[in-house]
Amino acid sequence: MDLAVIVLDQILTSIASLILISIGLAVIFGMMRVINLAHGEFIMLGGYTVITSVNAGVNLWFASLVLAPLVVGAFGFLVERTIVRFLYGRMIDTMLATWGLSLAMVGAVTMIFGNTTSGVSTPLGSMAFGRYELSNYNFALMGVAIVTTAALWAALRFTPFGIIARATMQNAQMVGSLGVNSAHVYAITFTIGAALSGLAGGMIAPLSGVLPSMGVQYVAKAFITVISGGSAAVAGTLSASTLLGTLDTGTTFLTTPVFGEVSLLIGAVLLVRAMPQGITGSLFKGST
Amino acid sequence: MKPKAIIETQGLVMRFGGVEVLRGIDFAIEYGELRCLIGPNGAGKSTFFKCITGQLRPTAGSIKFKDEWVTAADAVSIARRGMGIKTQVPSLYDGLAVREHIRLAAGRHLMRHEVAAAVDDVLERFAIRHLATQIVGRLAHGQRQLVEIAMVTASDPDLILLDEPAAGMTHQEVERLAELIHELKGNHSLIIVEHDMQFIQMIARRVTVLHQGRILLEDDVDHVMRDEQLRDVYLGRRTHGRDVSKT
Amino acid sequence: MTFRNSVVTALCVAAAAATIIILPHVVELFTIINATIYASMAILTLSLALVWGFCGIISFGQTAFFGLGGYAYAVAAINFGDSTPAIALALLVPTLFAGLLGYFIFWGRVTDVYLGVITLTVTLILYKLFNATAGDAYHIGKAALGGFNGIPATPLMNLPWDRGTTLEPEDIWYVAATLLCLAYAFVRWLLSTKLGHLMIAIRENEHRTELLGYDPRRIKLAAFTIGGAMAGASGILFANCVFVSPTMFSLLYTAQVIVWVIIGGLGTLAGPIFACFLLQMITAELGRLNWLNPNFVLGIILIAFVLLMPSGILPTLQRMYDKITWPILLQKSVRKRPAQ
Repeated sequence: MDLAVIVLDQILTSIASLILISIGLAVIFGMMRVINLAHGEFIMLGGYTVITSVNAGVNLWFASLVLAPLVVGAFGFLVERTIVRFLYGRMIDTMLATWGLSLAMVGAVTMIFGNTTSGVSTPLGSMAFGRYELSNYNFALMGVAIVTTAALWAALRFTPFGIIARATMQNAQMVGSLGVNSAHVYAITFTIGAALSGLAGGMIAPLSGVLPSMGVQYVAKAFITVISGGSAAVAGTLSASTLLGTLDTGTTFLTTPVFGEVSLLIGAVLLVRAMPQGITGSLFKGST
Repeated sequence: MKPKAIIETQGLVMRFGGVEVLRGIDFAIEYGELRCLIGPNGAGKSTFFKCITGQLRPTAGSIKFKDEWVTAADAVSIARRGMGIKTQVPSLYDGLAVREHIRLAAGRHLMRHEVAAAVDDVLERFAIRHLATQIVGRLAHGQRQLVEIAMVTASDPDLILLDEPAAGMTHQEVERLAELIHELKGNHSLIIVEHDMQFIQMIARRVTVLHQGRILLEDDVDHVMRDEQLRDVYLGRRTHGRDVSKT
Repeated sequence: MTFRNSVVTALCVAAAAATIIILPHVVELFTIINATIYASMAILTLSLALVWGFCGIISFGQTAFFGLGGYAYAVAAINFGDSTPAIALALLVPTLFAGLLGYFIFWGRVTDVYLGVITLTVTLILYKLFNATAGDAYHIGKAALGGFNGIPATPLMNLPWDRGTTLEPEDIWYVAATLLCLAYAFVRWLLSTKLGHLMIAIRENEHRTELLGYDPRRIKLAAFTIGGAMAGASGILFANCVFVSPTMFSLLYTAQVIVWVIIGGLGTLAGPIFACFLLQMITAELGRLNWLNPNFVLGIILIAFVLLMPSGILPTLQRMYDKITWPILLQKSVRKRPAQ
């Protein structure tokens, strides 16, 4: 019985992590169809923001929940204005430019911070549960994941900007003739996606520390999750993360972490093969 | 002896989500026949074409092509059995030259040494030899239509489907097209979807009228032209040279 | 082929042969080994240039076949003690894998982004699997897989008729460079055949190709399998001039190949090869100079490239060439050059 709770905790944490690292990309790629190969580096930037500010005395929660999204969001805005906005609709060029951006970011961070891992300790301690210990930080992760997903979904569904953003992604010309400046919409949407990635980085930093090259482990998983999820940004990410996270953790418990990750990947392959338009392209059509 | 049907559909139904586009089509044409298919936009003409070419799987009903049931067959296998289609929106290789198009089409069923001659023959018949090295993406709409028809003919199908072949063509091109179709008739069977009534009168013998997913009327072209109801409401924009939409 | 084309081709072949033969005599060993590495990566790049540029298959998985070729060679060479059957086996493994993966993908009608994801994921799976093979338990026959460190002592190729004579680095350069030329010639030839034309037709308009009666799945499978075989061959070469490790499956290598194809010009063959050599040389030089962080400099170069020269080096050069030569050649006619 205790073990079941532990497994559940791990599964939920795994799902929450997947959601967090993917949600920013779900906005940028899922909605805007921009292949951002620097996505992992946006997460990395969020992590470094937290580590640096905590070492300078800032409260961890403030750093993770406020500073990291702000900093990375601002950076994202800059990137959109100077690079991405010239490349909309040009998939290959976007891939190349964002890969260049990823390299440049890794290089810049290495130059500034050096090549070693730094970290902060995981806050909130742990909770005893039978023979096991649950890290309370997992609950924080789950909480942030839930709140973020819900907030994004509500924003897209109910707020004026959310509706405009979704309309712009479907038909920018139409929206333009209604008086909306689509360039502004793209800029803001990209910024939001970047901010969400920053948030993810901020939340993950206490768990694994930061390293200039840490982005690479997240970008592939994030893409796989978002694409398996299909065209609906929120519903897709949610369903794909749930499926893949459960698969990963479940298999890890039965075998090893390596096989856990591999099963996640195999699961994604089978998923895309069975549903060539992603989960929300085949089921749950019309969701956000 | 009763002439055989080259293609026959029975009770063909096509439903998308909640919309029933084809509501039970019983249709047949004979070997060597030329049939025109007309009807207002949304009647289901292009959908009908998509079903019989295998691009869409019908919701219900059956299709028989050359005495074989092909209801569940896919587009590739139906094309290989001898059906060619010029689609409503021209589907071409915008980056390739005209000659390449004809060569690709002819190359599927001919041996390598026969292809060159066949290509020249088609270019000659359609009078597009002067366009042979032109990149198709740069041609005018009417020329693109002609190239696509030439390409489809080059694959030597038994049944040729043309979806609005005269659209965007000049009057001269339309006349030449009518001649070409007369030449093709007999050796090939044709089903042609069109809105241009003058063109239809140049080429057709029998006309099938589709409306709201059902066959409304199937008769000789003269009788169809004279049908009052049709003329006022269902036939395109022109009859006997008059534009009825302004009436 | 016109006479002019024949002359140009003959000149190119002669120049290539001369370069290949002369190079080891004028540069040092270190440079030769680097050149061999570049040549093997160029074959890998060529495989993606074919599969993506000419058949429209967005494969993020060429490195999967690259790594499989390398590992298959290393394992086979250690077990057989003779490189000739090892090479045969090492070509078979990635080709078979490409065939199976291709069947899985194309018969499932998976296309563009989703295809990219599947191929990327497969590469990642292989990376993680091979990375976890540290320890004595993981071995195939006499070859220990070595986990993250890979297989350090890969036996180098020997003469097919004399397993005792191993090839020197210069010899491996000859093999690699010649293979690159042969691969290029092969792909050019392939693209001139009916299958090659069909690959291009699929890339241009798959639907129309179907309607003409060609099965796109088979054509794509053929392209994908040939590309897999080429990538596997490049892996064998790589095993002979570097060493075999899970890094061959890494996202870094995957992305680099994609970058080289894009910069060289998607839809061309010579461009990506050129870009592959150029960018690797630039990266090596940046690493040596240690002036700014090499990743940073390379990243800025890429971004600038995209914003300034988006269609690739070769097409841009071609356009510049056209702009200069056309007016001269067409002085007589009044024909206006169509807009780009």
